[in-house]
Amino acid sequence: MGADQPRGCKLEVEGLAKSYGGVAAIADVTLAVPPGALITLLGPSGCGKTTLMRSIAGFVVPDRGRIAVDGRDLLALPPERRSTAMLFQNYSLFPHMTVEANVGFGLRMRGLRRAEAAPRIADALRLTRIAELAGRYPGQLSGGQQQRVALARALVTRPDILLLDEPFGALDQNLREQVQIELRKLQQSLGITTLVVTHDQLEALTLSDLVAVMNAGRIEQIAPPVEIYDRPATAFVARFMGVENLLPVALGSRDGATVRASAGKLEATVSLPREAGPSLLAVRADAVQLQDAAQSGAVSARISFATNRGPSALYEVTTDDGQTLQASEERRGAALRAVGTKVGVRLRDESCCLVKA
Amino acid sequence: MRARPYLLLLPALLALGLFAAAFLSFVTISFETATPGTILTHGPPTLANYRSVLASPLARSTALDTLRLAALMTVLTAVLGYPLAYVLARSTSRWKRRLVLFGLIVTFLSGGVTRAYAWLIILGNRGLINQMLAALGLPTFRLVHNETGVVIGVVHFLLPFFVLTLLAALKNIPLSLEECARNLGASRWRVFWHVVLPLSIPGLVSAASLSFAGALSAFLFPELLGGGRVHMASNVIFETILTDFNLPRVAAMAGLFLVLALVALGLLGALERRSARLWAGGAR
Ligand SMILES: Nc1ncnc2c1ncn2[C@@H]1O[C@H](COP(=O)(O)OP(=O)(O)OP(=O)(O)O)[C@@H](O)[C@H]1O
Ligand SMILES: [Mg+2]
Repeated sequence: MGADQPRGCKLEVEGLAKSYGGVAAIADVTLAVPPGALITLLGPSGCGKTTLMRSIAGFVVPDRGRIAVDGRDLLALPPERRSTAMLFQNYSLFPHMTVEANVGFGLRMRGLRRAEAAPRIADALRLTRIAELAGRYPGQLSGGQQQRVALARALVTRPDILLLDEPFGALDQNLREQVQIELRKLQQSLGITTLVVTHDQLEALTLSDLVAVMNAGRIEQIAPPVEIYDRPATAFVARFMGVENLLPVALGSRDGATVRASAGKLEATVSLPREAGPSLLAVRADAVQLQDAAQSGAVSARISFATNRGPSALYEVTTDDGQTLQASEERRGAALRAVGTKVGVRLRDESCCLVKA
Repeated sequence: MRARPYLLLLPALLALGLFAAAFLSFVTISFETATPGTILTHGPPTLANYRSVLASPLARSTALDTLRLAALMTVLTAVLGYPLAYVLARSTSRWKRRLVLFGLIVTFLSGGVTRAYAWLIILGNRGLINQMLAALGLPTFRLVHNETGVVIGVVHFLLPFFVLTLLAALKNIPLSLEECARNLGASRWRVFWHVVLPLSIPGLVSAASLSFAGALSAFLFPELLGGGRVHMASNVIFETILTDFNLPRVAAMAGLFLVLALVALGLLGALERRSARLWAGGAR
């Protein structure tokens, strides 16, 4: 590792499909990951994330499609000849080998001599900060330590593509955040093209260069995390990224690249939708601005539910024309607005967007 | 009401008690002397029977033959049985698994005597195999009424026990470990050698111990397929009863064979406890 680490490889997946007994696990997945980037596959349970990852590693034979690394076709190769390293969900350390033997396994299988392998093993152990555990057996390690061993074992072979299936699932919240950041730093410094499966949206936003949101075997949207968060393309992505309000809208007059969208009496000026077809207005709770009742230019509404959510207050408001939406407001030490209070509601244009219904 | 569960144990306890009593009387007899012309025995306690057995060339050669044949049978059973167990544990083809399971269960369900005669028909001097060889103009072989026939019969008998015991152990090895090894660059064969085999060794040793115990106590197949030439412990004990009519001496012989078997199985047990790490070269 270190300076002689080759630059990452480009991963391309084209029209990949796999079905089990007539039911599609993945249907027509296409994605391209630039060299050295980290992409997360995000999606609900059963949407095909693991199937896609296992197709790349070679444990699932897809029905159709192409997978290529730096333009070289992968599908013709058996798993052991693909230069992918997969971190299994349960770590899968070899229980009968020491940490050192586990980490060295890939090098041994690739026919490296002990003298060549030893410094690389030591490097990997140091990089993942488990050098002092070298002589232990997996059964004598904590969950977090096992994960580091699995990571060291995957990295030591200098794979073209690193595949991580829910790598943080078994860790508690604190450790998880710490390890996420550590992994991201390591991945960036080594420049390994990496694919991470998760169903935790915050994890995806923290880790990635690109996020691919999957739904029922297809990729709904693939974009940098900020864009996925700010401008989800579809209602599914918006909901998955935690957008609280999806309002039916009528589109009014256009002005260049923007359009006037009205949801009942509520209005917002937003960018034109990317595709034609029915749209919904995606409004995060913090894009709903609450004002004390009397002010003009706002739609009048009543607080119908109020609760605390950490630094902010979360409300449910019902407008006079019968729409219910969630709104949040920084508390700044003030008391919650009382249920039944009249308020004025307006939408912050810049935080709203149109999504495909 | 609380006594109920213990009542359910009663039949088992009775059987066990009966067994223990028989065994105890058998041990007692081995220290007595036969009354000539009868099946009765009388005291005083003596070690003469044991001395006589230990000095007997037949008993010694039988002990060696029995151990040698049982070891050979166990090794053959393991070599044939391991792949079958692996197919049952891992094959993705339902047909392959069904075929193997069907073959084993048929073996289980057909009685020993039936099977012994089936082997005679297949292996006999004018049996199926030799007729085929003769028809092809090839030399024929003596496949039965000798050790070969006994080994074939016993190995076939032991296979289901071996395979089903090992199967449980193989199923306990997570498939993800094998996938992980392949992902790290190991071919199928090296995955087997470096991961599956070492992790299956405790199961393999249990299955082999069971087979070894079965082979040591083989009676039917040596009797029916051995043609009187194959001396294994049970057969020699049986024949000695018929010829000598000396119950105390036979009891002493059986007792000594039992001790020998227990020692051999004890060694296998000790091996089982040390096995997986030893194999991987990781033991400290
Ligand atoms: N070997 C298999 N045989 C039959 N169906 C399968 C198989 N593997 C996966 N599937 C099906 O394919 C679909 C996608 O499964 P996959 O494991 O890829 O989901 P996932 O996105 O990884 O879910 P999770 O987040 O729960 O891990 C599921 O409906 C699953 O039941
Ligand atoms: Mg999964």
